[in-house]
Amino acid sequence: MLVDAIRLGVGSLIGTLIVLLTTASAQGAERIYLKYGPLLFSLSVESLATFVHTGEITPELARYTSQLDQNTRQQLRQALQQPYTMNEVAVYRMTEIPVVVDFLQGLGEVINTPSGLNGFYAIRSALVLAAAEPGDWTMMDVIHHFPTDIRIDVERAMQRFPVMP
Amino acid sequence: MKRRDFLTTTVSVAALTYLSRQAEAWSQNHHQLHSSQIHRTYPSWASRDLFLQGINAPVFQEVDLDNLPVTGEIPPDLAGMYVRNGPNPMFQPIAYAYPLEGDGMLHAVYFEAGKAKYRNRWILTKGLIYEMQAKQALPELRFRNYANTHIIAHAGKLLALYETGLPYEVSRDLETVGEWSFNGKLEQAMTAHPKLDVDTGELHFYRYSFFTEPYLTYYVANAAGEITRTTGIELPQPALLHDMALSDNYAIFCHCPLVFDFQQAMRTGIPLVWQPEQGARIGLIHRHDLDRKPIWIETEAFWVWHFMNAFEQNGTLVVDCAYYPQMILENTLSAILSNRSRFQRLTINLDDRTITQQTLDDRNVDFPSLDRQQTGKPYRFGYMPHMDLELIAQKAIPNYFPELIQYDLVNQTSQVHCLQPGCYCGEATVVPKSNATSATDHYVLTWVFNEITQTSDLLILDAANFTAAPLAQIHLPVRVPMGTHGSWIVAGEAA
Ligand SMILES: [Fe+2]
Repeated sequence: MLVDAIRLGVGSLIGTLIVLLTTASAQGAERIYLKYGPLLFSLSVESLATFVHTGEITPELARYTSQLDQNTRQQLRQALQQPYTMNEVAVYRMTEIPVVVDFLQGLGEVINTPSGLNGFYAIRSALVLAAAEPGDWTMMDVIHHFPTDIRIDVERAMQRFPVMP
Repeated sequence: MKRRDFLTTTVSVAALTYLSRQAEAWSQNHHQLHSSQIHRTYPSWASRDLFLQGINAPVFQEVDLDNLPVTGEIPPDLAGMYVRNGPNPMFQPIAYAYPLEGDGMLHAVYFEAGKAKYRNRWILTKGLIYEMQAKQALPELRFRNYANTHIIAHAGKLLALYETGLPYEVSRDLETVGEWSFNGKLEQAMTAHPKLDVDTGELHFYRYSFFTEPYLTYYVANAAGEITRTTGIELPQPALLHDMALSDNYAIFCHCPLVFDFQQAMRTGIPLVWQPEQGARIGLIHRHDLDRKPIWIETEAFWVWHFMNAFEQNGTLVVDCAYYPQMILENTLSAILSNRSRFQRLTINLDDRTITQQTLDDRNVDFPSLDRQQTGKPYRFGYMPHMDLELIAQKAIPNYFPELIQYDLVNQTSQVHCLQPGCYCGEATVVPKSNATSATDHYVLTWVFNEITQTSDLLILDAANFTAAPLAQIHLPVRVPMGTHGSWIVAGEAA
C-alpha cells in the first residue's frame, strides 16, 4: 500500500513534469500588456530585460518608468533579479499546496493571458520552467518562460496585492 | 588469562551491558510491546517547540493493540469506533506553526461486545509521501494539506479534514484512500468543522479563500455526498473562519477581525492581524430560501475557534461558543496565556437584529462538544475541557487540561470531572446510549494522558453520574498525544 502510494506519487510527479517541460512553447512571452481601465499599454520583455540586467532604460520603458522615482525603479529591478535556488521539483510540489493554488489563482486574476484568461496555469508552468534552468533563477526568468504574452490588470493588481511594485 | 582473552571478555561484557541498557531504554520507551503489535516504527526526534513537547510531543510508532486492560467495565451497548485526529509531524519540522502544521495521525478505539481494540496510523497525504521519499521535512511543503484537524463520517465515507485542503478519505482500518472532492464539485478546500443535519443527512460546510473572491463559499452536500448548494458570500476582506454553526433555518458564520492582510504578510511574515477596531459581524445565511440575502449583524470584536451549538427559540437565535475577547495569533507562551476565553451565549433578536450577550462560564474553556443529534436544536448538555491557564503557565507548555466540565444549559449549572493528579484530557466526544430515553442517557469519551506513566487511557464517563469515577478506563501501553477533534462512528456508518 505504502510503496504503491509512493510509486504513484513519484510517477505522477515525473509524468507531469515531463509534460510541462516538453509541451511548453519554446517561444516565451515577448510583450507585456498593461491594462489600466479601458487603456492598454504594451512593453517588450526585451526592454524590461535590458533594464534588469544593465539598469539601462530604453525609450520604450521610459514611458512607464518616468512616473516612478529612482527608489521604486531600483526596487523593481531588484525584485526582478532576486535569485532563487529552489529546484523545479520543489517548485512544482509547492504549487500543488491548496493555499498556494489559491494564491496563484488570485495572482492569475491580475496576471492574465492576452485574451484575459486567468494566468494560473501560465504562471505555474513559467515558475517550474524557470526553476528547471541550471543554477539560480529570477522572476525575470519566469517572465521569459511565460508561455504567452502577459496581460496585467494594473488596477486590480493594486487593489488585490497592494505591495506589488 | 591472556591479555587478548581479557580484552575480548571486557569488550563482550561492556557490549552486553550496553545492549541490555539499550533494551531497557527501548522497553521503557515502547512499553514492552510485542513485535506483532507494532505495525511500523519511524525514527524519533525531539524538538524544543512548545507545541512539540510534553503532552504535545508526537509519537513514532503505528500500533495495533487487542484486548486492552480495563479498570471498570466497558458498557456492552457501546458498539462502534471512536477516532480522533491531531497533528503528529513524522519528520522534525524546520519551523512549526501549531495548530496549522503537522501530519495528521488518527487514533481509533474499536468497541465490540464490551471489548476494545486500539490502532493508530498516519494519514498518508501527498505531501507526507513526498517527505517520506526524501526522509526529511521539505521546506517547500509547509502549510500543505496535512488532514490533521478533524475526522467525520459522511455519505459512507470517513473524511479526515484540514481547513485549507480537500478531505482525505480513510478506511475504517485507517488506511488512506485519497482526496475526496465530492465528485469534483469541491475546489481546493473545505472547513474542518462541517455541521451534519442528522434529520436529513445533509452536511453543511464552507470554504474560505484569502486570494480569490468570493472570500467565503457555503456548500450543502446531501446524504449521498452530492453537493446540492454552492453559495458565494461576499466579505469586505478575506478572513480566517475556523467553525460555523447551524440552526433550523440558518447557517451561521462569524467574521471576526483576525484579518488577512497582504501588506502585513509581506512586512512581517504573519498574515493574520487582530484588528479589534473593525468589530465582528455575524452572518446568517438562510438555509431554505436560497434567494434571501445574508443578514449581517455587527457586534464588538471577538474571536471564536469553536461553536458549542446554535438554535432558534421564541423569535431569537441563540449562539453558544467559546468566546475570546481578543486573539493574538503567536506561538509564544505569553500570547497563549493572554488569549483568555469564556463560555458565552449570544442571543440574536431576529426581528430587530440586536444581540444580547451572557457569560455562561468565565473559566478558560474551548473544544466544545455535544450529542450531535442536538446540533441546531435547543439542547441540555455540552462539554468543554477547562484549559487551566495557571497550570499551563506553571508547565510552560500549552494544552494541559486537568478537568472536564459538563454544562447543563437548561438548569444553567455545571459539574466538573476532575482527573487524577498528573492526568490531562482533550476534547470530549458524546455517545448516546443505545436505549436512550432522556438527555442524560449518554457516555462521554476522552483521551487522558498520564504524565507519570507516560501512557494514555481512554475514559468512558457516565453523563448521569459525571463527577464519579469513570465507568471504564481503558489502559494503553502507549501515549496518545494531545490532538484536535474526533468523532464517534457507529457500526456500519462508514466503510
Ligand atoms: Fe477546531
